[in-house]
Amino acid sequence: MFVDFLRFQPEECELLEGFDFFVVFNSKNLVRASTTSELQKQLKKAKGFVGVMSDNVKVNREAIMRRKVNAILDFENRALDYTSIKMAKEKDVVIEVSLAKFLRTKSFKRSKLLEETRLLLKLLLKFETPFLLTTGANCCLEARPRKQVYRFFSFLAKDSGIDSEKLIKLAKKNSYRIYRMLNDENYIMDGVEVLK
Amino acid sequence: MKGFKMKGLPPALRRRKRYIAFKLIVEKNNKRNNEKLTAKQFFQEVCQKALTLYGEWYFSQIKLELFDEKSGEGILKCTREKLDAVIALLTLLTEVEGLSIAVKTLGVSGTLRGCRRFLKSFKSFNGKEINTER
Repeated sequence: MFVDFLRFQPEECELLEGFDFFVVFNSKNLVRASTTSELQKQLKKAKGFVGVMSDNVKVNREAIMRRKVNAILDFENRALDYTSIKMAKEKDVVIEVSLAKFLRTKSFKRSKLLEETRLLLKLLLKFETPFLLTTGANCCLEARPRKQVYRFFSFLAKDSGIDSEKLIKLAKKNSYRIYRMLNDENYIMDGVEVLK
Repeated sequence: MKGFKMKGLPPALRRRKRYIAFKLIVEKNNKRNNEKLTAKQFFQEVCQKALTLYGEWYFSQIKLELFDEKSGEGILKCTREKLDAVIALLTLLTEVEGLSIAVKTLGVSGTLRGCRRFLKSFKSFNGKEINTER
């Protein structure tokens, strides 16, 4: 089961082929904050599978520590540090790695993003932090088929000396885990589930 | 564009090639009254993108083989070693001549005949939204 994180409601978007389910982040479950106090205020209103978008390292770190937050969403200016990635593993917060940020940027900015993503993938594999390879699309034209998304990140990982097979394997495993977390009522956490 | 070809090369020395079948999706209701892109325009953009992304080294190993303007489908030829690089390149294509586009790769094959099969049959998206408010 492959899950994708989207920022729009897809209607007949053939570019999303290969994804079985998708989570749409809208005003209800998407929190955009630039300060920690703003984050705390907005989290009170948020419902469902909550994702946080912030360009501030402190806000992202604070969000990871909050029980209500499920995912740290990806965009061009996201700032994450070493400790946040390590902490996300302990708190079971999903770190999104999206493709759309590369489509929205060009030249120098894109090359910086590629370098950042290489380092991020290295750390995600090192700590085995839950992560998801997604399209992160804002509109239908920013979406891409699942195979294409996985192939892109596999190429990026291979090019940087990262174990690309392990990366894809973990991404698939996390995708299935998120699907079960959201869809299966018997699932509590890894290794703990209600058996009838 | 004709590339350099050495005649009479034994099969063992020939470069292994791969054909990538793709579908070009152009923004609906665009500013130019649903104007369609030509093969030349698309080819130029692929070349430009390859040059900016990988440089002249990789660019020498990418060739546009076939493009059907009516259906927006096409086949791109590249060397086997650079297959992933070319797919990554196609994934990153977002604009041609001011029109927003997206390239969907349909399949990869070692022969042109095998690749044409992908053009005939491609699946559509039928994913479901997960209701997260439980």
